[in-house]
Amino acid sequence: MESIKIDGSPKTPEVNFDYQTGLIEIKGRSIPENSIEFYKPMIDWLEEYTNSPQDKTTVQIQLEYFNTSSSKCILDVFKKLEGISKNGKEIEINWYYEEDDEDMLEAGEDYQSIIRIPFKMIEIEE
Amino acid sequence: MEEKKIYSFSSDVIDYDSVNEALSSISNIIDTMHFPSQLRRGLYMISAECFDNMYKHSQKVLSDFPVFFEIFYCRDEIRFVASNPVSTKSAQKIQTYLRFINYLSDEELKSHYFTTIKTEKKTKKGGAGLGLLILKRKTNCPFEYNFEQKSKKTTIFTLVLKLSLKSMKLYRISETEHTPLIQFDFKHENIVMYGQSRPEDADGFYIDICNWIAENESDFAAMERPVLHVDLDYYNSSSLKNLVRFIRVVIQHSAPSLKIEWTCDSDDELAMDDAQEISRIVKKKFVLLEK
Repeated sequence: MESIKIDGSPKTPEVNFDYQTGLIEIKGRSIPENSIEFYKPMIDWLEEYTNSPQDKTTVQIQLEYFNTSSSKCILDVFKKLEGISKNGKEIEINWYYEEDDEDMLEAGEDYQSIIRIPFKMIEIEE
Repeated sequence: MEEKKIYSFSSDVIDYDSVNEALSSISNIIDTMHFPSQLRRGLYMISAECFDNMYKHSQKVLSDFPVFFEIFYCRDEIRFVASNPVSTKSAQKIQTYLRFINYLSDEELKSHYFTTIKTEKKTKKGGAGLGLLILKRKTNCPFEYNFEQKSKKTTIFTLVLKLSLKSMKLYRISETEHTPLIQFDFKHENIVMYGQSRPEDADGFYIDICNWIAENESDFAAMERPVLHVDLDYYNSSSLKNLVRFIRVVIQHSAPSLKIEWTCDSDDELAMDDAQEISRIVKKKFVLLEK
């Protein structure tokens, strides 16, 4: 399986989906013009990954800001991961937020209450 | 205090580039206002969400009416006004939905948000319902709105969002040409002072502030590790004794853990001397920071 590597931009996050290491990273801002189009390759990748996932998948989400339409796409990413976890593979989700960013912490907690995988909330010092 | 318009956008057409341009100038304006970082992010987020909605609507409705977005600021409130044409048919639906959202308690809003994000179908235009829910969760006041039917097909939808700084425990005395910005952020336990201090009536200006501090002493007492940060470019001699008065009152009403940070130019010996002198008078060590 090929990896996904997308550089970050002021409107879109940096994305790293690495099959060999089972590492999934989304970092930065997510306010793309068309969220569905932007996240589609990631959803497709996960769809394929579900068939032969690594024993352990590590997910690093470090978002500074995301808009409403991205929030649904990010939920779709988590839904796919939830499916893999249901098949008995280990999924570790690390949700990073800046020290005083209560909104981002809350957003992580919101996802955690929808997805049946525990999140590790990690505070980044400014 | 009078309300001030801090940002204004108006255009007949709205495309992705103009949205980007608008958001980056909003971001610059917010940065110059010295708001706490959480509020800065909140303001940006609300603006981005409003523009997202306006952009999506403008693609659906072709009309001769402009789209506009404005941000107003007054002492304890920030107000956003977003206006755009929508189809008369959808206006009714939006109105019903807004009324419904306003009616929900915080807890109900949260659970409705979960239901919506889980079930709402994604469309290319994105779910406006979800956007409104997020905006409602980010602001702490009910939505105000207005619908004005212009033709059989087109209605102008205006949405007013308010952020109450008071409920965030944030109090500001805005900067003027002669007086500094003084911001009391009780939630994040810091007080900042920026700008210049050469008021016409320095005694009057600072006595008012000291009285206000005394009236709000419980908020001061509740701060566990307060920080007072002073960063003045210039102050006149009549302000100097008032700065002492102000700092004394802050010390008097704050926990002993209060930290005072004083910023000045390292090559400005006079300013350094003043800082040390004030520190000696108020009997409190300052952390001197270089500009």
